[in-house]
Amino acid sequence: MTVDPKGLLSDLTAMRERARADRRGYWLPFLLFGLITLGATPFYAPKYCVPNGQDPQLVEPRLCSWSSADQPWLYHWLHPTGQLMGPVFNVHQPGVAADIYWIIALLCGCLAVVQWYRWRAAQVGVETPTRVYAQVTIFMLLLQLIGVPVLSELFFGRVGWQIALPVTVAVIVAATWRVRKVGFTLAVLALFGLAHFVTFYPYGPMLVLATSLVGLAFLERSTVCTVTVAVFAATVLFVNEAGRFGFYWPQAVEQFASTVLPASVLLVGGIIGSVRREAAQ
Amino acid sequence: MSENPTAGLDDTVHQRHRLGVLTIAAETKRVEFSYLKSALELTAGNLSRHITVLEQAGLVEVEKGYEGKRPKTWLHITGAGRAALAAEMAALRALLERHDSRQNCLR
Repeated sequence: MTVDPKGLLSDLTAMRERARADRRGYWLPFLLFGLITLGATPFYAPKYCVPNGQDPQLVEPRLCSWSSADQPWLYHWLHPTGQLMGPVFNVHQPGVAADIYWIIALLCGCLAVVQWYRWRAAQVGVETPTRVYAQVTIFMLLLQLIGVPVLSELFFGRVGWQIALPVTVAVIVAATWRVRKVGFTLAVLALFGLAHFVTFYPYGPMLVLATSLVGLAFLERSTVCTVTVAVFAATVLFVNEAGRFGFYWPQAVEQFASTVLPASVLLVGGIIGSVRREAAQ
Repeated sequence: MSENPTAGLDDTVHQRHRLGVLTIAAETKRVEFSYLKSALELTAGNLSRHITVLEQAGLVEVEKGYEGKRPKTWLHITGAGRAALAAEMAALRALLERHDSRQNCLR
């Protein structure tokens, strides 16, 4: 190490960059969540029915009819303002199975990621702090499971959004004021807003995943990681909103395109990260 | 007249290897002893002495444990350590700016 200030600063910068590169491990979470997203595909497949009393050999099956009244209580709890459905949103029937799949997968994925970084630290000698990532994931899951349903049931549903919304914003601002960071208050407000979108978007749980990966990118400070998360977040918005702007998947791929496209982004990002790590070694 | 930037340099932190320890620790949740030894190219004894100085100043915390049967020593930076590192870096940058502006005046 050199002793003049300029040399010392450049030595320290080189050390910081080496430690940052050594502690990185985003490629495995990307591969894991890519596979989890891919695994959600069957939950969004349309169900086809044959009308009662007709011979299935002679009649072409049609999309099953459904009513939200037929859904279990958990569905209404998780989607207090309903869910965007129909061919426009590429999701034909609501179902609580997809919600349960995502909640379990995101929770287990979060635990696996934290364990992965601990295991990796034992191998390389430097550990990435995962607290922000875990906090964002758990906070979003709690908002989706408890926060939004309870607020909707006890507050928004009773006094109307015109009163409930400004009061909720004021309470959040007051509660986060002690941190005295505008960025923190805005982040909490944004998470509450996003949690509301999660409840009614057809692929809402992917928004939880995108948000938690933003937390991971913040910790990783890697260009590949940040770009992958940005593209994934844009893709998630696209699959949730495409129909509204008149975009429809070709019929041949519509059953799986909305999950395969975002999953591919994560898988490609994970593979690039893994290849770069191998090359660096 | 503005205060000389060298007044912002802290003797405990300014020593270049200790500055290296703090810089690496600030980038991570925790860092292992052997990683620091290799990154700073120090002997175990030398590194131990530097870590003891930083620990006594409350700038880092040391955690000893086992990974399987192998003993491992982990180190993580404290809030005071982060503040001291930030102050040291600011003082070094100010020193460098002052040096550069003097050089420009002489030309």
